[in-house]
Amino acid sequence: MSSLALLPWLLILPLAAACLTGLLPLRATQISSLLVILSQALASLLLLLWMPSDEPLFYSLGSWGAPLGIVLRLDGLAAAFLMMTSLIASLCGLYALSYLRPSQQPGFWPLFWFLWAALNGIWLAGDLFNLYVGLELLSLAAVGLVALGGEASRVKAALRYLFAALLGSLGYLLGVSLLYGAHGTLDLELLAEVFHWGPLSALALALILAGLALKTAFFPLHTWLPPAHAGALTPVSALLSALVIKASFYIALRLWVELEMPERSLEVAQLLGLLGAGALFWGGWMALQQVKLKQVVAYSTVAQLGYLLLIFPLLSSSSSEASHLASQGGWLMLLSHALAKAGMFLAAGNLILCAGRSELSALAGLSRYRPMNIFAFGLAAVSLMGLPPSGGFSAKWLMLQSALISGQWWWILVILLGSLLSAAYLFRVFSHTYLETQDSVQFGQPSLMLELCALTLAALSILLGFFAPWPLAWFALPGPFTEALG
Amino acid sequence: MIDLLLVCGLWSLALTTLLTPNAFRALVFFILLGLLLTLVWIRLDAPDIALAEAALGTGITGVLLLDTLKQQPQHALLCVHRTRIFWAVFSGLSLTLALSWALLQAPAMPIALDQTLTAQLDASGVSHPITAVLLNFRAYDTLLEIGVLLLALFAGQGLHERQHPLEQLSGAQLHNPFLRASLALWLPGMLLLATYLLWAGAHQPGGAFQAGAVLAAAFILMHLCGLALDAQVSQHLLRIGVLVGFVLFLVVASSSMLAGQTLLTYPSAWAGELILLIELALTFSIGLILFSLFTLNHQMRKESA
Repeated sequence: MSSLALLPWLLILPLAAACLTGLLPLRATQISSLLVILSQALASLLLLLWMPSDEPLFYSLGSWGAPLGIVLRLDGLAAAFLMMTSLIASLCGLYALSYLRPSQQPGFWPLFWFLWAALNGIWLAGDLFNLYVGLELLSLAAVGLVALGGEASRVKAALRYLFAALLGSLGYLLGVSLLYGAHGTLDLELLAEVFHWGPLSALALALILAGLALKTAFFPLHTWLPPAHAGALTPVSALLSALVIKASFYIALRLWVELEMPERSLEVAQLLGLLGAGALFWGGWMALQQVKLKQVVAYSTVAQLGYLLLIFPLLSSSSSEASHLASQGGWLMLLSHALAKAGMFLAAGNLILCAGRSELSALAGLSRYRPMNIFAFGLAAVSLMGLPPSGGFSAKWLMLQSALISGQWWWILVILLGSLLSAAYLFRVFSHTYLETQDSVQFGQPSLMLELCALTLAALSILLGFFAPWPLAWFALPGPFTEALG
Repeated sequence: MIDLLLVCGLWSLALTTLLTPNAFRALVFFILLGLLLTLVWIRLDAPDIALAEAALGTGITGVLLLDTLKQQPQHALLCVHRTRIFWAVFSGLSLTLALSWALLQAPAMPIALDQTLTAQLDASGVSHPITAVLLNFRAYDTLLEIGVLLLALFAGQGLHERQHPLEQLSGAQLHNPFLRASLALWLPGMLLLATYLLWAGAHQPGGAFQAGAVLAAAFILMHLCGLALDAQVSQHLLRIGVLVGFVLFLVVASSSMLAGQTLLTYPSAWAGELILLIELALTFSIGLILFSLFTLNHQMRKESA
């Protein structure tokens, strides 16, 4: 069986699982979900191992080929993110299996599988309109997951998220239709070939980027994120912060590079970097002010997205080595943030289960009685702060090198100050757990499965620092993105 | 001249919808806006979109909104934020200006997709280009779009935790003998219309989405007259009906892989028949999904009561 024959199963199986889990009784739903989780993990691993090292793969749906039909494309980047999705979604799925009440599960699984299918579809998509459909599927599944259970505060956060996501979709769709009007194709490969720069293309790309920025929650369009990510059920928060917002960023960065924007709009790139700095400082500052644990973690996501925005100015450097380092560091940052943030949200959920309340003050005494959960939270925190030897450290190291080579020293300051600020708000959480309490306080004990899922993800974000050469080699595999970067 | 009138009508209706404090009146203006938009689509020579706008954008959406409004305690007064509306109008105007400026300088398309489409139309199994694009050339998009529709239903159903099987709905909603009597006249006509829209889709405007919306309207009218569909069929059967279109589409899509083809490749001799089969199942499912979205509201109210 070749990689190309394996590829469609990454879409068919989650979609089939979404239907099955919508129909079967609870027990059968759980068993079939476990089976499909296993098969997805296996399929994405095999795809990564069989990835040819000389050229990207193209899969023509319906055998029509571009521009008439839709073509899926698999390069190193897509393969790496398929693997990332499998890893994180599997662990969040396992976590949900024991975290969610039996009454919540029938609602959860169909949405979970649609979410996974949408993510796989977006990593693989090679067509602008197909990306729009993928984004719709992803946003609606995410909104449904936030609102799961119908608690008033969750529905409110979900509605806010829905409006932001729809506005983002509208912007993206308008931009896509303008691009189609100017070039006559929706296929990304063809578009990059015939792309010509003009007022229409500029306006189209501005609309697309603004729409995607709203969906990714880039500062200052981030206000929908904290209530949605902090208010959702724990496994949902992890999925949302780790994977969902990354999908729209992935589309934005791919378009930016493949349509050769780094040379065309130096000012816009610097502006995006400035917004990134704003995200780092504002998100960090807000995280310091929060009194609830999951709110701290959610604002930390707002802040960490700032690092991803810093890639744009770093890519615009005249030296090709600097832009290469920036793209490598950026993708690694995305990967390590995904692992660390998923681990941190799951660990935070466990801590809240232990303490029984979601306030930071309730964590007092936990470091003595439930050290394993604190340890998982701590490992994820190390990666988020960017301390060696974590994945976050390797990513920041590459970005710092890129900033040095391209002579944009001001971004070095921003990266370092951002790290300091993240250390501040994360240590603030720890300081609460080391407070001593009266011995009368009773702590709950989350099940072993919950603790293991959180610990695995957090440990992986550290291990990423040791094994960084692997993902970096996948990112550098030939493909439309690496070719456009030169 | 007509176009100018239509545009002015659109603008004034949109503004009135935004500025009316009475929710019911705002809703009526919104529905009128949708009807006018249908005319605009016809003027733009896009009858498929006009049909979809009339059936889905105005018809089903309007019914859903009206039904939601009915459940508010009183006729809710919307608070009209003057500053927000100012910003909405301002940004709408500036976007319009930017768009028209950019469109005036639109270059010629380097790729003529419409010619490729016409050349390949015979191989698609249908003769209406839009159906060919939706169900053959870009069938993957349509497959995922049906997924979006299903997802909307699942997300709505996820709003309440399912401790025990859903209660059966009570029948009569409106005790209106006139409605009942006229429904007896309309129902066969609506079913005929749905079938015609579906059948016509192969060679002229129409298709599964429009036919499904008409079917949903028939179901909703029946439901309002007390002939509740879901009181007569079990919840489980209803759920199978909701899923059957998507599942059949997925099965047909992947069965081509048995023959060593890529996903969604129809055998060329059977393409027309397969598309009709998929559309038939889709029409049925879309009708049921839209209908279920409508009854969802009632189930939730019942639970909270």
